[in-house]
Amino acid sequence: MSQINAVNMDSTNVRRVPLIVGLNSCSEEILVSRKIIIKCTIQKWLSWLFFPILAPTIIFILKYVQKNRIQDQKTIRMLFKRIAAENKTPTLICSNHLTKLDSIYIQHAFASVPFYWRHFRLFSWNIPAKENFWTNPLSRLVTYLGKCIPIVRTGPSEHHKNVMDTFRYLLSRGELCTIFPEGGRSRTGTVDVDNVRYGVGSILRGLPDYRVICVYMRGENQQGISDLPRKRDKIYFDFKVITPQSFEKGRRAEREISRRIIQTIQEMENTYFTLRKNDSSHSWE
Amino acid sequence: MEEKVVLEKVMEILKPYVREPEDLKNATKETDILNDLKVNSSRLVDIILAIEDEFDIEVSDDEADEVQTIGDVISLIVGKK
Repeated sequence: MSQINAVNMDSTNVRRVPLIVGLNSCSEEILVSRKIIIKCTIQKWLSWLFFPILAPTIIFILKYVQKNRIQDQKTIRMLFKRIAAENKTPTLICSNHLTKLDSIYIQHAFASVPFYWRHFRLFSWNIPAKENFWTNPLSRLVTYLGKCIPIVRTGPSEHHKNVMDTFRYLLSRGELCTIFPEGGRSRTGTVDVDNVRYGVGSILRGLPDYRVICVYMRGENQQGISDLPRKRDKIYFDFKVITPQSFEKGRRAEREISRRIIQTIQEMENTYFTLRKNDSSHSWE
Repeated sequence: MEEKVVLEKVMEILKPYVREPEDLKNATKETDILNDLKVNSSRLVDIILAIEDEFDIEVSDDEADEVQTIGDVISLIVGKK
């Protein structure tokens, strides 16, 4: 049994509230404050409540204003339903990162609005950079209702640790979470293996059991980074489920797990470019 | 171990992670690794692991969190040797 302790960190009297999760073994104790648990619960319920208004609006913009379509979407959705809905194993989505709305495109690729509304734990949590998405009240509201936990990239290590612990807590509760292992959009336009952040390994370390859905996505005319994919672009979308493990301990384990994930995404990128090369007149059908 | 020797080895470890080699040439004990040498936080983890290997020491998470300057790294190593 994995035991997750909620710690009232604000109080001088530190209280531990054990939460029992149905997982097989415990590698490490996860400490989260009760304040965070309550915050996340309220955020999730509010997100769920406003989801039928917000999500169709965003999907409408993607489909009819941006006119982007996901390649092989039916197959992707069928596979995702099989994989994600089968059990509550902590599942982290890790993707390459080229546009500011990548996480929205990932959600859109994996399932429909009604499906997410019925299985809201599968509508994944995100960690957007606060400086990008916390800019005005509307953006704040949409970010909040989109199950996002903003992170200040240049913030103190204590803040980063809190965000990572929150993510680990959410994962352990069967909630899906998305993270970009490169820590930001790839300046090179391709997967930047050397720039991988070990935060992803840090989140997974200590979870008794987990799996990672590695995603590679790219608009057919996407060259480098941009705010949005090009209008009318079809989005190539590929994913692979892995369970990266390490015999190392501590930071070495985090590093090894993070590298394994980014290497998998890079392999998927290589496949993409090979496909494009082999079929320069790719129809993207 | 002499501080000078430690400093030389630390500088050698830092070299591949520093964006501008010129910054390292002008570095002192007060140089901040993240801000002055523009090393990103994950690469700082690589540096700590390289130091553990080079000096055969173990650095805890809390000790690693305390590391900001080159001087901090040297004190950490000397303290464990």
